[in-house]
Amino acid sequence: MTEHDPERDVWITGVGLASSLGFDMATLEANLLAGRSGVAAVAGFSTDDYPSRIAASLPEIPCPRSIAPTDFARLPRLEQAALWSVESALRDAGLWERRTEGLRVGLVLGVGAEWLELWEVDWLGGGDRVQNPARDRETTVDRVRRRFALRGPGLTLSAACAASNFAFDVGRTWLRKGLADVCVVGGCEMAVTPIGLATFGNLRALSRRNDDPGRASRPFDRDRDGFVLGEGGVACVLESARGARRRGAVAYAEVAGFGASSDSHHHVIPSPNPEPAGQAVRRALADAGINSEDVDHINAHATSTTVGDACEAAVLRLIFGDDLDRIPTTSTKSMTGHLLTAAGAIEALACITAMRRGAVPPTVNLEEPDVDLCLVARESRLHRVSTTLSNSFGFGGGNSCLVLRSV
Amino acid sequence: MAAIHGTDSASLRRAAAPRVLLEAEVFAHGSTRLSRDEIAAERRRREPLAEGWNPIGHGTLRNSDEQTVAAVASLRGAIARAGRPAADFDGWGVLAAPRFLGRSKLTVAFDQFKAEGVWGVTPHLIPHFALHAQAGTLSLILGGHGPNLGIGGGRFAASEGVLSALTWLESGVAPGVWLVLTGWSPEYRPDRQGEPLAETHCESVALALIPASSDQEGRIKLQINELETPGPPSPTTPETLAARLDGLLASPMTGPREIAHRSHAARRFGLDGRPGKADRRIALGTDDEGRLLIDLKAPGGASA
Repeated sequence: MTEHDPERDVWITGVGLASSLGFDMATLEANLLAGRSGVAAVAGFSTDDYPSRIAASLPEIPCPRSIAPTDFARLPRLEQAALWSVESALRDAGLWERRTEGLRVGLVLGVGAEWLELWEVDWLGGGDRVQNPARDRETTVDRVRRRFALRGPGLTLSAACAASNFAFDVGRTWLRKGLADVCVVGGCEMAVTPIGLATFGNLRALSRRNDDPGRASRPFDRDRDGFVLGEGGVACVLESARGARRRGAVAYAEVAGFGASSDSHHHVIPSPNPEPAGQAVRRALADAGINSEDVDHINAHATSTTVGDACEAAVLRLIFGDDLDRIPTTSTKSMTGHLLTAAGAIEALACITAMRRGAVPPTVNLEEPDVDLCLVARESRLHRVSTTLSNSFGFGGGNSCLVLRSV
Repeated sequence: MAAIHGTDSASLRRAAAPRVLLEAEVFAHGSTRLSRDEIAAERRRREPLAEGWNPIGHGTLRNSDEQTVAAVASLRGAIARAGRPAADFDGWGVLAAPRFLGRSKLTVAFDQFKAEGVWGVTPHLIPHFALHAQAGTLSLILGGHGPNLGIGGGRFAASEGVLSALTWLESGVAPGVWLVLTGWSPEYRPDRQGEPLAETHCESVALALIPASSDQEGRIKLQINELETPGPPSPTTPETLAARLDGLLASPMTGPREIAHRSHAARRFGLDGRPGKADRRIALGTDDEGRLLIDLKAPGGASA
């Protein structure tokens, strides 16, 4: 393994989240390790005609302390999730007050279908925003930065379901190059809307196990029938190890490695050739300065689709070889649903959970595996984790891989 | 300034002149400005981006947003200008920064949903109109295995695209980056059938960017500079960027220069016009806070 370099190392020193499994890290950790599912029947609009009528939706999002509840209630849910997550993360890091004292706080969020969602919500409410470009002045990232007076650069990005890992890499680079003093990175997605659920359903991507929501998301299980949409927002505060140490900050993990690639195969179908996605994993390991035998745990992308799960198993075998037989592998999408552009961010928190708690969250609903992996099925497994790897693959052939290391 | 993270030195840096945070060299560029009819024709083109490149699959662009089709057209220009085989771009990343992708399609999708319910909703919304879609499609067409990423999506998408590309080159995620910026001018304003209420054109510029190096003095550079005092936010556009690049390349980098003494004076072309003419910076725009300035840095003697 590589030696730590305080000049280049970047730590996660704060987290904030809005998920179906909780709105703070402790609750999320408890639910993940207990194997609780956040999936339920969709509420809020009639789903009688939908092929898939289930999702890991967000309940009411708590109002951040800095915003008046009446103001907050008027905001789009996407913005609510982003505001809650970002403020929570900065408070958790102990940097909330410092942001107005000259600290340059960058913000990088994966947001996949921001305008589609905003235009739809407006249209459902009787508006015509989609026909009126003059109303589209700011992105969600812009609005969060303005409201919180964040003075670092901002960026919205999307590699579909592979997006959030890219945010960690951009944030890390900005810190190393001095573009920001701290950087908040993560993802936000609110795709469980009438048209969002319909378009994914008509794509035949979603589980139709409507009568048994909690058991619908079953990655790596022979009886799977598609993924389950999830909603949420996750924000992580990144700062240099040197700066974090200086102020005595508590670190959740080091952002140790990142790698990315493209399949260049199909708009929505993953490549049957494991080499391109394998290249992303290989680059992440190299960036972290480690070999495959150094990895203690893998959080798989595994969404619960037959093609995708099998492809990822081939990718992992290609890179890890026989080491894979001893590395506990799990897919927490079995509990959280698939948060799309925010998936990588919430799975980074699942990896942190494994490192902090010494236990790997389970893949619930996994009764009959059809891949040859060291899977953590149904119940969490006690296991010492120092280095953990998280895959995220997406539509558009995007592949990303993040390596986190305990500090 | 709060003194955490060694910000004493950061404060000193910001007190000085604007500093270059990130930069890259423009290896090649191409641009287009297309009407909707021209986009329809471009959508049907199947020939490769250039000789020796993979042909474009029959259905690859069939459901794509018009901005994505325009992006492909601008890539053709950049690749032609680069004059290199596809293998030279192996591993390059693809960054695509559209503005308001899918607006025209959504008006139609809403009416179909209203009329036909769930089954009237096209399954193409996410694969072709979400933020990742343009970059994913371009990656498919380019045929490389470098990473691909959609950027921005809103009014400052072009600025975010430049920032992302220079960030990628700095981090080493890819050895080179295809950066494609697209948008409608004026912004697309659809009626209920998705047709534009006023004439509009789709602009696109494609840039082939490589890490800045000191051994290529003649190349145009893209830079992100930090401003000491934030200015008013100023989004750049594909058309602005393309015009500036075209202007720089149209002007001779090295003008004719008189050599020898007067009686034997002879015009010699192609000699370097330096020294005596400093590099020129051309401001293209800022980020949405007016803090990060995007500059084109022209080699000495060039004019915009």
